[in-house]
Amino acid sequence: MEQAWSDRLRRLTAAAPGIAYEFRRNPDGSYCLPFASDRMYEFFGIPIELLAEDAQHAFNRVHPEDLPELMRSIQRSERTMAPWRHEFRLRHQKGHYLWFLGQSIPTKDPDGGITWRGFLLDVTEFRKLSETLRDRDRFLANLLESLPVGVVVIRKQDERVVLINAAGAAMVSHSAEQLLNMRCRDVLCGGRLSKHCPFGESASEAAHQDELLLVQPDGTPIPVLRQFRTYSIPGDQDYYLMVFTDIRERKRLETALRDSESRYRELADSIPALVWISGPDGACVDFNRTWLEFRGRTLEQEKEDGWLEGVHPDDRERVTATYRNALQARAPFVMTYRLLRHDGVYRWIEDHGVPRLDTEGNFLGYAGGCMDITDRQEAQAYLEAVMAGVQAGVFVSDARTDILIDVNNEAARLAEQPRDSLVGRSWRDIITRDRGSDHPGAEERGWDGQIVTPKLHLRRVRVRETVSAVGGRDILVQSAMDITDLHHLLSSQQVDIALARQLLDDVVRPMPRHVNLGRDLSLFVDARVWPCAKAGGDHALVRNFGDLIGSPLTALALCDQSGHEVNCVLRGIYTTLTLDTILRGSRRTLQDRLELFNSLLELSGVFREEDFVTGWFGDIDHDTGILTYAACGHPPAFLIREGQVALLPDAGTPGNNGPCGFLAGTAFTTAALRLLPGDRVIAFTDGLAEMPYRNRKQRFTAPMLARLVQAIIDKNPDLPVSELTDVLLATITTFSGESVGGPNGDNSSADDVSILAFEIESLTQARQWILHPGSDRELAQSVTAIARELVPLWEKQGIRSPEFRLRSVLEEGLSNIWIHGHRKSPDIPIRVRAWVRNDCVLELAGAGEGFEPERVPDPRLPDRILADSGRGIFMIRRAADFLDWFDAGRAFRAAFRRPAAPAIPVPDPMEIMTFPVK
Amino acid sequence: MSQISTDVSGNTATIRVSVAIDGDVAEQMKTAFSALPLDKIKLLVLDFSAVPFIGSAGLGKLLLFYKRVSSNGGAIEVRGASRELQELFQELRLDLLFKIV
Repeated sequence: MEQAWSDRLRRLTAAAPGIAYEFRRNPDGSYCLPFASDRMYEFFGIPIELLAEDAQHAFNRVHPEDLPELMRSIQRSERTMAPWRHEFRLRHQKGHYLWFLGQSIPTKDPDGGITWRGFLLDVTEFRKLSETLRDRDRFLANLLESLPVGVVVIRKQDERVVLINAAGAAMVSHSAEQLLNMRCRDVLCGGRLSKHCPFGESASEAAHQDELLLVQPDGTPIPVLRQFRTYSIPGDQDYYLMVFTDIRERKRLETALRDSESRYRELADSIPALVWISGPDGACVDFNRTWLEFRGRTLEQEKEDGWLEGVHPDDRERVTATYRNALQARAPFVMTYRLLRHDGVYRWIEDHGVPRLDTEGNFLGYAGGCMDITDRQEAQAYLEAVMAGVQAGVFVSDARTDILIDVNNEAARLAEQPRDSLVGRSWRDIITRDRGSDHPGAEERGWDGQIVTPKLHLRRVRVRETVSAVGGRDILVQSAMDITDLHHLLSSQQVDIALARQLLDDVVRPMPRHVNLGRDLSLFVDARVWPCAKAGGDHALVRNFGDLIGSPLTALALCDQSGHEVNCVLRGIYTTLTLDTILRGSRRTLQDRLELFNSLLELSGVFREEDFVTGWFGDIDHDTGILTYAACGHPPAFLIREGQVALLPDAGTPGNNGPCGFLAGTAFTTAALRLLPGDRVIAFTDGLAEMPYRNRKQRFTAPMLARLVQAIIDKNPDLPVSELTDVLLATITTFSGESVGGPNGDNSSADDVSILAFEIESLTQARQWILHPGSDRELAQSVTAIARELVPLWEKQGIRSPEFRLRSVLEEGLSNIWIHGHRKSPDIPIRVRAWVRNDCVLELAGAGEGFEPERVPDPRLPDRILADSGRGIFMIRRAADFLDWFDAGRAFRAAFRRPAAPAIPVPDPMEIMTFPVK
Repeated sequence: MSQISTDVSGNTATIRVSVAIDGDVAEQMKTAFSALPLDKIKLLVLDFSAVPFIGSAGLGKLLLFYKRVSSNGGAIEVRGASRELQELFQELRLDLLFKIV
């Protein structure tokens, strides 16, 4: 019976999982295993009999790390008689360790021992699984905590938070520990149910995504994207899993994108150009307002290929091909075509397409802009027609580089080269400008030049040129008129502008320089004319009628002839001769002479309808010192007296008249004043006042020029009028950026520049010698003595070769007076005076019968070369820069021009220009 | 030093002047010239290297010398003339008559 129970027991234990065993603590404290199921042997390979004697064999199989705790657990169970339960590792007979869970119940044995009876279960796999699960839990926990989104798990039943990660807690500004077990609505909604709360009305959805505001404890709302779903755990409860994503940055970007799109739209619609956008497939997806208004259609109508309906049928195929080719290459393109406008009119469009790429270089389509170039096309066609039709050669070039941009057919004909071969070259390679051939003009410059063709044909051209700003650059347009035939004609007729000018100069010569007014006064006159391009019509005329009995006077005139070509100079000759004749012919008043002058000019037939002459005219009565003056269509002269400048005539006063030669029978008025010693007068032509216009687009009015003169005088009160003229001219030319009056008498400005200046010089301080030579030797000694005194002084004034020239004048002048005038009489005094003011002047005065110096034969004539005498007057003329005879040849003044004074401080003309006019 | 000196060597005569030739000196020149053996002179050299000035009277005398010398088949040479003198001779075309050296 017992054996049967033992066998049954053995079979049961063999079938049961694990190892059944008895484990005993003997009264002596040793341990043994009285019973173990067969698996014990299978596992350890230790015979049961050995284990029954001593459990140490089993302890030897415990993992060394687990043995101490195993023994402690056994001892605890011994003490407490509580059921024993422990997990530990045992080494299999194959050498590897397995985890076992030992469970048993202790009982006290009668002999004081304790026997535990239970099972050892192999829990190795279970433990592996547990560790795996634990690892996974740790991983998931770390993952959860590392997520940048808030994750919350809420128990549906009581709305309590069972899980929330750090990001989620941070969104509501709490720690995860604080939030666990709080009600969801308290965590997320500040105690209030938001309309999106899953516990609200929409809670029935299994999965949901929405945007809501998380309200922070301080009331700050944070926009979040909430995604939640419910899930059920069998055997457990239902939960909500919510994921909150902070979308503040996304909101900001969305707002920025909206703003950007809004700005784009605003910009695109405000651009006057037609703008379009296409997608990667080339289909147009957007057009700006300008395009739609131009076409008179809606966006829906124009989208995709709708816009093609507006392209002119003749252009459609080309446009489509161009666009398609560009799209394939994803390259920019330009195409020109006709597009139908809302009013049914086709307009020429220039369409520029540019590929659009994203930040990674992916092709997004095209952006295009179009301009209506119909007007430009028509203007181009018009220009082409004009260029083809105009009779002059037109050269269009870049004003900065001189490179030709376009020429017309006539230009090509002149150059005898194809148009294409001229474009791209410098115009200076084609046209050579003549030096000094400038023709003035305020807005347009002109000059003569020549074109030498490849076949060495010479063409003379007259060029007019202007510079205009076009499209941000300066364009030089030159029209070249072929004057080859005219030039030949003029050459054959020997019409020479320079000759005409020389004739005019000869007509007005000689002009006095120092006029004897008597009463120890001398009238100094300085007339300077700088013709523009040596072809101007300005002229000055000064005639000394000092020897006239009864009314000795000096007549002055500064005239400006209208026009600038050679005929103008010829008319100037006529004008001067007429004026001169009137002066010599009668003693009329200035007023009478002007009226006669005006009528003669107008009725002469020499003046065309548009011709006239302006001028400033003055008569100085030698006896009274009265200056009678008039301005005829001319700027006033300036009187400088005692440091003040006055206008002669002033505006609105007598002496102001219209031009001469314009209307016969016109009445003229004059004005008068008495000149005083030291008075300085400056008359000028408008070329001086207008000089700044070409480069500075500014002009001097008469009051402005007067202020400029005043400013010069203020700095240099006692400036002789010749130096005042030098300073005034230098100031204005420098300000104007022009060159007038240099050593060659050049005038780069656009008009003649003329100045007629005079001054009443007082001779009271002049050096004086009274000679009574009785012999040639005494005469020679006088010459030597005077020369010895004057030469150093004149040398200091910068007079060139003072000794030779001074001795020539003294020697010949004194000899002439003493021998021919005084017949060598020692009783008749010879007066010699010398002074320095505007010039260095030497005056010799004698008595006798007098003579006419101009009748003395020229000693250079062939029949005079061998003459023993007759060279004296020639040598005086040669030595002096100016020679004025008076008192019927009994006296003369030889003037030596002082070189230009060193530069003196001058006022800034800009201050004069901008100073308020009084 | 005398204002005017003369020298004869063969058929060359030299008149050297060292002052300005005004009317008075011109007469002295004439006197000096007249003292020369004019019928033998083929070359009259006028040394003006120290002459700062010549007046018309002096020029007149030169022409007198020229007529006399050239009538004998001779010539006149002016040496050492200053720039002013040379220019004067050229303007008066006296360089056609005298050799200016």
